[in-house]
Amino acid sequence: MTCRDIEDSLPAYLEGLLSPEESARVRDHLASCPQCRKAIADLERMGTILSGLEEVTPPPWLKQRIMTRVRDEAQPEKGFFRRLFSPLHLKIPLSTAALLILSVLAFQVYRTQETQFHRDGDLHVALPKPALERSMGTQGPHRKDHSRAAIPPAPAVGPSVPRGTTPPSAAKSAKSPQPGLVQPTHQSALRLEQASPPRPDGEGMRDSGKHLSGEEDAAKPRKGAVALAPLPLETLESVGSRKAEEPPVFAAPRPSLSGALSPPMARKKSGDGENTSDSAVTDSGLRGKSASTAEIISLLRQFDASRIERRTSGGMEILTAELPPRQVQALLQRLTGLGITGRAVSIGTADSRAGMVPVRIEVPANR
Amino acid sequence: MEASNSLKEQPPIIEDDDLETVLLCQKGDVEAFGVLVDRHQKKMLNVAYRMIGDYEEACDVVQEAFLAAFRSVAKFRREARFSTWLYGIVVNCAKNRLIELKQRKARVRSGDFFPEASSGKEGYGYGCGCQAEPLQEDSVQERLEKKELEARVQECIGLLDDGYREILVLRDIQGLSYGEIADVFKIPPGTVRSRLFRARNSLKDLMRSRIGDFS
Repeated sequence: MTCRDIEDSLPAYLEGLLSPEESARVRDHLASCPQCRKAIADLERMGTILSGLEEVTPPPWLKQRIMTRVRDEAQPEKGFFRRLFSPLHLKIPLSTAALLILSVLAFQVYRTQETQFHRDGDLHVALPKPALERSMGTQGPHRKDHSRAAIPPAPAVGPSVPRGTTPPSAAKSAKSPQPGLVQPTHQSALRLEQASPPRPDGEGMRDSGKHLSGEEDAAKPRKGAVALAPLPLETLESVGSRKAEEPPVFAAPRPSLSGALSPPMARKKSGDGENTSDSAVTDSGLRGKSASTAEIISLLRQFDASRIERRTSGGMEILTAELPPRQVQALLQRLTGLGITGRAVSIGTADSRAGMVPVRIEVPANR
Repeated sequence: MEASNSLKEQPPIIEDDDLETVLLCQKGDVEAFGVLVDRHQKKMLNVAYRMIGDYEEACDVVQEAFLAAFRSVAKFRREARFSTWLYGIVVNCAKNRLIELKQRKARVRSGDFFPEASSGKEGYGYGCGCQAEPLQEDSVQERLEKKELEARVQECIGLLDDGYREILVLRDIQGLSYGEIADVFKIPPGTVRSRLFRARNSLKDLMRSRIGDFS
């Protein structure tokens, strides 16, 4: 056995765990080897040192800290209901309450905005529902009465509400910004209309204009007939000869030949004494004044117009009448065919009682 | 035959002074756990301290160990004494803490083993607040020499390999039996002995090299 083997066996030798033979062999080696004797002495001394190592004492706070943490650990297991209603769990009710408060605030803000909305749009709310909004597409809301009293100062061209306070309905309804007699934009008509301001007493055109009782029936245009384009400027004769030769250029049949005449044609025709149905016109001045105006009046009659009135203002012939709503679309198409478009034509709102739609047509007096 | 099988399945009856208190803890008595803390905190702190070599860290480890014991006290099946079971938890916590400390020190500076840096001085009242038990009979000089020696021994303990250090601490410092140590580490008593003897020889060599002639 080498010293290394003996040294490895020394701990067991000291504890008496070696067999008697191994113990005797170690004892013999120790007797003859001072190095191994030193080793076993060191082991014994080391054991003494280790067993005599000073013990450390736990600090007084150690148990408190341990038990604090232990109680914290045990707390959730004890109070289930307490956990549910403890302040730490208030975050859910608090978040719900916050959500409710926000919702109420948002609703209040919405209500306030809605009130403002209606206040701004009071004029529109007070106005009757547009009669032709759907059928016309580009028409805005119209007044029930087409008289001047219900029309803003510049009824044919100006807005019914001040500029800058565009009503929401106007914003929503594309290109139908104004209530009352809303007309398509037409610069000449605008200029002329401005030249003939409305009467401040609120009396409509019926008072100053000519009342036409156009009750006689004319050939009614087929509903939904569409004039594709205005007629070209042609003479009555050429039209007449063409009519004999060619089919009409209209997509839909017209109530009469005169209805298809262009303004120059109408003038020529009027000059020939065409205006024979003016017996119902209350204004005697209308007769023979303008062939074109007479043609329009005739056209109005064909479309079942009533209360046809006529007046002259600022070099403009202003015709007003009331039409059954079903005839308005066809009339507009016919007027378009006659070259009367844009702001020259104004469509009012259907009278809720009589169900009639006021129509206002402006043409130059020399037309 | 059946009777012998049933006896084998039964856990061995072990005398344990903590048994009654442990049963209370298992029934949810938190304050009974305080009794166990009172009873074992010093021994556990000394084991942790001898393994780590730092008083504050040892206190922290003991806290963690007791908390872990409380969390799993319901799983304690009384196959060993409660103190033995608790020793195992403390040793595991101390080993984990040593790993953390080594990693932390490796980041700060490489090459030094943690116990060398601490030198055990902190554990013996060298400014760490450690409350060592006073030795009334020794003179001041002897006490200083003893503290110096113990610090160096602690330093050498810290240099022991893992697997040797904790067995040496439990056996030669805490005085546990081979059987208890075998229960703590769940290894055969023969393995405990062989590891212990190697640990002792290693520590002896370390002390010779670091302290010199200490016999």
